[in-house]
Amino acid sequence: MGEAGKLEIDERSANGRLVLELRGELDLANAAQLDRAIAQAESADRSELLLDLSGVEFIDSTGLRSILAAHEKLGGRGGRLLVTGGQPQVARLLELTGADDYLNIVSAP
Amino acid sequence: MGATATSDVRLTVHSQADDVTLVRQVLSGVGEAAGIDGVDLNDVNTAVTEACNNVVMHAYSASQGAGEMTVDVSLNSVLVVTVEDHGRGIGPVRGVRGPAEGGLGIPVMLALASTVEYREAEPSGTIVRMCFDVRPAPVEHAATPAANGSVALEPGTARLAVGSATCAPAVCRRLLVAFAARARLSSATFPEVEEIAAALATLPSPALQLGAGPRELLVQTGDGALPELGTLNLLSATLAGGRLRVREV
Repeated sequence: MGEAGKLEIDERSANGRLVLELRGELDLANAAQLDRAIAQAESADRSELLLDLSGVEFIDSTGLRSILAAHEKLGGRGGRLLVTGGQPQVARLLELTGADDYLNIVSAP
Repeated sequence: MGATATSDVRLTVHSQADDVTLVRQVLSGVGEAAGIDGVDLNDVNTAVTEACNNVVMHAYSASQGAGEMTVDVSLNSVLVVTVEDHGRGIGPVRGVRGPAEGGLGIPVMLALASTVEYREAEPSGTIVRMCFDVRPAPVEHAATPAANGSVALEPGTARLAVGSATCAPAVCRRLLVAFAARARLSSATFPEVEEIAAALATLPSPALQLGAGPRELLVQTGDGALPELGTLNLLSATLAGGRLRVREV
């Protein structure tokens, strides 16, 4: 278990796409950290970016908003954001807000 | 302070994003003590986080800077959590803050809590009261409600008061471990931090101010009645005037 309130982001490639692997908590305190990581990943100029949320233990609406903004932005320039489902609290928020229907949810990285 | 008259746990933090995680630690400690189901506890953590985020983002003007945010938790047949600030208030028109700007926070709170009520705080600010139908196990309540004073909070600190002896061990432990992490104490020392938290939890209705310095943990107790802890295996604890200083050795 990571330090409470902390977010770690690792970048890697898998199946020809860039993967951002998140661990910890994605909230108001660190959503900007994800925004920066996504902006940096976009500069790699690949059409697909995968956010692996399986290590995210907690997400709030601010963190979700960052993911939704990235979805819009990538889609707007012909790319695609893929998101793996997360732990129960994450899945619950995505379902509650309808984000699970809106985002491209995939089962595994 | 008028958030609740029968609070079992009261936490006061600064209205800044980093401190919202402390609120979740306290709620998780209460959930552990009261045997609240993990799925239900997730809902409580999510909804209360959104209420706290609203305080961080909207309650205090830029010129005011971060103000204080007090979270009260009461356990009876339901779990009641109030979040109180003394900022600008919710305004004369809006019943809630957030939806006008397309925020998800308020709808999430409304979906997860069985009731959400807003009222004005005295002399200014807002109180959000959320009830959760989570069927907590019975807990011991204090004879007097938890109260953690009205002195302004020092920067970088949080104030905790636990009226329920049932909740004290888990709540003190989680908050102390969170501050130990802020102090960058080695994770190897955390079992000993938990030992110190257990000592703090034996105080009747512990009222603590917690802070973190470089590699040291600071705990101000209300009455200085802490047991001498001395040197543990990896930490030394010194006590003077009710101020406990814990360092790595």
